[in-house]
Amino acid sequence: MTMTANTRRLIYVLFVIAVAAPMVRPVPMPLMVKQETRDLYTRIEQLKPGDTVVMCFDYSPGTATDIHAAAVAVFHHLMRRPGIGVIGVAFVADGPQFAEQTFATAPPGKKYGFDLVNLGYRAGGENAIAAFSQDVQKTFPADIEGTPAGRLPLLSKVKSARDFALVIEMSGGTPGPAEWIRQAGQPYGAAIGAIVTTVMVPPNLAYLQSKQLAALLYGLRGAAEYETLVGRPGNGLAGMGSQSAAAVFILLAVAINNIRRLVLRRRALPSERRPAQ
Amino acid sequence: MITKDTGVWLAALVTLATYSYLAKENPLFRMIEHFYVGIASGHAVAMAVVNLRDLGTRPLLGGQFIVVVPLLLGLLFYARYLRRPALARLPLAVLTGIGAGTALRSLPGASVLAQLRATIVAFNSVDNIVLALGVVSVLSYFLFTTPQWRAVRLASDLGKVFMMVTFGASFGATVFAGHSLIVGSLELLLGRWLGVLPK
Repeated sequence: MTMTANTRRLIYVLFVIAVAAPMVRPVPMPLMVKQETRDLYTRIEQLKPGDTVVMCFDYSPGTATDIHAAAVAVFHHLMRRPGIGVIGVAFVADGPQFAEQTFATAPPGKKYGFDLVNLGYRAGGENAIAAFSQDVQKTFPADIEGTPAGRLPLLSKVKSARDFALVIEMSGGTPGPAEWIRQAGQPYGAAIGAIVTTVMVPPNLAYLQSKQLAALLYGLRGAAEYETLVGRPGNGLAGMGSQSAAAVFILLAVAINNIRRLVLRRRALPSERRPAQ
Repeated sequence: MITKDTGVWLAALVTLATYSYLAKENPLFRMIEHFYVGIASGHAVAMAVVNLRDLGTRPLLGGQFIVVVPLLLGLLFYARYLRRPALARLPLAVLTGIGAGTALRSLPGASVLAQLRATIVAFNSVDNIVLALGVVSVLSYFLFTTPQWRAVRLASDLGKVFMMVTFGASFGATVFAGHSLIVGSLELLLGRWLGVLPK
């Protein structure tokens, strides 16, 4: 009853077809927007002109599919709000490239240094977050291109985490929302919203329930929900059909294999009961 | 229409070579695996050099002589290759101390007290009752030093159920994260490379 290599390969091929089909021929999927996603949207809608938001790009290519679409949707929402400044920062070495990709989609009219700044990466994980929360310019004396902090007007508005209207931590592991809560939320009272991979949801729900996290978006689903809220379809909504198809395929595969095993066991039983000749 | 972008071609071929492992272990997959490790190491070294430049040499040349202390501590890591390897423990001790100190500064408040406060709830909804039951029963599972009274045994059995549900949710989340990766790879192959996805 064990699965042969060819059966396994056949399952892989069928799985790829099941995931690819809704991409080639998109199927509209009903999507309910969760409250934790709506919370981030509302929080951003409530920002006032002159507020500064920190977007922390703590993810790498391995987890980008789960996070990046949501990052882009949230960034566009921030850019639509008048007078909101966005500071991009990373405490994961691969993070700055995603900050650059996201900021490259900024609408025309937004000025670097005034509306958005990319500070790049700083090593040290939680210690670096603590230093950044305590003194922004001391931790990042220059932006990713080496422009001194003093020549970036947006940075003159923020001294410490007390001056952040909102921190959006986008994480695929460590550091993640817990580190930000410990170093910026708890000591400085900064509001923290998080965009995390689907794997990181169960541990972070505890922080959402205790209101230490203001909002939580997760995986492609979170991206799709946010794209629906801001009315800007992107990779999140495009991937929802495939993700649903993949889930249905796996459920069917599990069900079919269990039925097959039951049938084979029932067929084998009479012969097993027969006494040995 | 197939793209002419060399970067996308390279990414697509590397993706196909990676997935070729699903058919069979093969030299192409192994080559890509070695490339991946090499590139990741190279990237990490480059980032370390940038850090050393931004936080070490530049401030030092700018007259901030205090950075000599962390630079020297960093160099001491290499003492393990000298006759006095014990010196390498000094920077490690400093790092551990700073890490523990930074985390402990707000860990009790953020991870213990705030979580504790969040479990003190009025029993006025099913959510709150499930939350209180879950916390008490899961904690009772970890009572290893008390006699196993019937009530404790029952509570710990219930705790096991809560934990199983949590592990199930975590496993489901892991499977879904895997789906996202496949979706990302197919978007690259079918969209950016072959151009067969609708715009």
